[in-house]
Amino acid sequence: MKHFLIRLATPIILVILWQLLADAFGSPRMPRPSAVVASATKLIGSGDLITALATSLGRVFFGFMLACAIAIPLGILMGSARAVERNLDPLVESFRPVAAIAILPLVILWLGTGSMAAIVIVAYAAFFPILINTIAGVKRIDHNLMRAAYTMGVPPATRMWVVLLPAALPAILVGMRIGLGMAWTAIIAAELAVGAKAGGEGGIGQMMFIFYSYSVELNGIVVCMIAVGIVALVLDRILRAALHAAVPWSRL
Amino acid sequence: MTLQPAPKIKLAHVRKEFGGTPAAIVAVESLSLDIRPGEFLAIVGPSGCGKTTVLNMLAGLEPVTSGTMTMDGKAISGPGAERGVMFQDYALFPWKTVAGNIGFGLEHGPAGHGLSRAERDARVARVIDLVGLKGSETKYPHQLSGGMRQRVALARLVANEPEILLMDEPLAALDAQTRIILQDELLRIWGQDKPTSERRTVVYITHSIDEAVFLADRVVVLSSHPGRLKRIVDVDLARPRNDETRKSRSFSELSQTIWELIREEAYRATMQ
Ligand SMILES: Nc1ncnc2c1ncn2[C@@H]1O[C@H](COP(=O)(O)OP(=O)(O)O)[C@@H](O)[C@H]1O
Ligand SMILES: [Mg+2]
Repeated sequence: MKHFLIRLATPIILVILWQLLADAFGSPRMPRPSAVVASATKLIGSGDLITALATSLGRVFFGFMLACAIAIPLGILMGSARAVERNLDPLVESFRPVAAIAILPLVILWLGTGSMAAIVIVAYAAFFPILINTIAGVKRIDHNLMRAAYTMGVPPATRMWVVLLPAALPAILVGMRIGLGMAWTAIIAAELAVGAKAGGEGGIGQMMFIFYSYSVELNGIVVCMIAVGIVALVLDRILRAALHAAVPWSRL
Repeated sequence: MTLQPAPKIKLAHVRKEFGGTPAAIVAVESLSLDIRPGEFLAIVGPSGCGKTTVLNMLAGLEPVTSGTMTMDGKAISGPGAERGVMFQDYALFPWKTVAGNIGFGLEHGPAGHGLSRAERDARVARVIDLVGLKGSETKYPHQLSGGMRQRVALARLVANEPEILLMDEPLAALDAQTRIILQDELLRIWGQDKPTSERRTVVYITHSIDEAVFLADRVVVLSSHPGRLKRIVDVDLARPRNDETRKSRSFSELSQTIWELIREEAYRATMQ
């Protein structure tokens, strides 16, 4: 209990400072804790915030799955076949620094506005960390493990499943954890592509955008920011626990 | 001179180079050797003399650069389940438990063909017992000491029941007492109480001269840079061998003989 209080001390002090400074120097429209709490109560009470987060999480989930479905097999291929890697590496490396938000216009042109566009942008953001970690994981596996299976007469295709994949799994899971973080970070940008929707239907990113450009509710924007942060933390904790449970042999 | 059966494995003028010409490292040069069926053959030599390289070629993991290497008259062109390998660094699967590692070849390789699940489990249990790993079945390699990992690697090799056992310094990581116990176990597993015709063929690499003399029928002494055959020493100590053997005069004389053969080079290797 005491530890818990000590850990809460910093945020509590910051919130108090924020309130005091806003009261002393801020304009009436500047967000302050009291107003943010009121706004949060309203948004939670109406169910809009929960709907928005659930909608966004759904998109992140599908985008993340799409990224895994492409990045993991591709990473295994690139990590195990030198020729494939040499061909694809320049392409990967030149796209990697292009932020997810930068592909927004293209995606909207191709897919129009809607959930699909948001899912693709999220998938793009999650794709690179998963790919890079999978390649590294496959390349770094202990060569002798493959040789051991080889000397036991295990056929090549089976070796992929029973040696290569489990040996690279810890690295793949690390990539997935980073990728999911990136996907969630990209959701706010991605949902600019969704098009304006009432209430929470557009997702948390769209909700923020509406607060910004239509209703100019700064307190609402702060509520969204805090909600995004809390969800990110929870997601990461869940994934970390899942990771430890999935690879008990690996000291990640 | 007794009549020798046809060699199980035959090496003729085997040469192994690493890297391209002209900067190639010659690891093994003009090595000719007959390995007899059912014999326990030890290979000793200073570190870096090419012992692991010879074993890898026997395993089919490395091609010979020139010369020939045949088993039952057929060229060795790649790995085969009839030749089991115990690697110097054990090569245990970190995601498999002790039992999972030992049963790996039975589960995924030809060693388990025709065996039911229950038969495989029974074999794994028997081998776990044999190497003294009872109680550790569900542990992962990273939870084991070096000595226990070595036992797992040994058990995995034995569980696959290969015709030929290729072992690279299998007991090197063990403390002296455990090593002696496992030497005795190894001879029992190999079948020193059985007639030669029922024994498996073992190629056993070690840097311990005493160990080579205690275990082997013949000791191949290699010299280094490049690895060449220096001498093959026949070990005519009676079987079954036990602690009495270790105390016997002929045991120490043989060890002494081999030591003299490699002393100079061992010193030179140490100085480098
Ligand atoms: N893959 C390789 N590439 C290049 N040189 C190698 C390779 N493997 C072994 N060697 C060299 O071959 C020689 C013999 O090595 P090795 O067979 O491991 O010796 P030992 O097992 O007797 O200590 C050494 O000089 C070593 O550096
Ligand atoms: Mg070696």
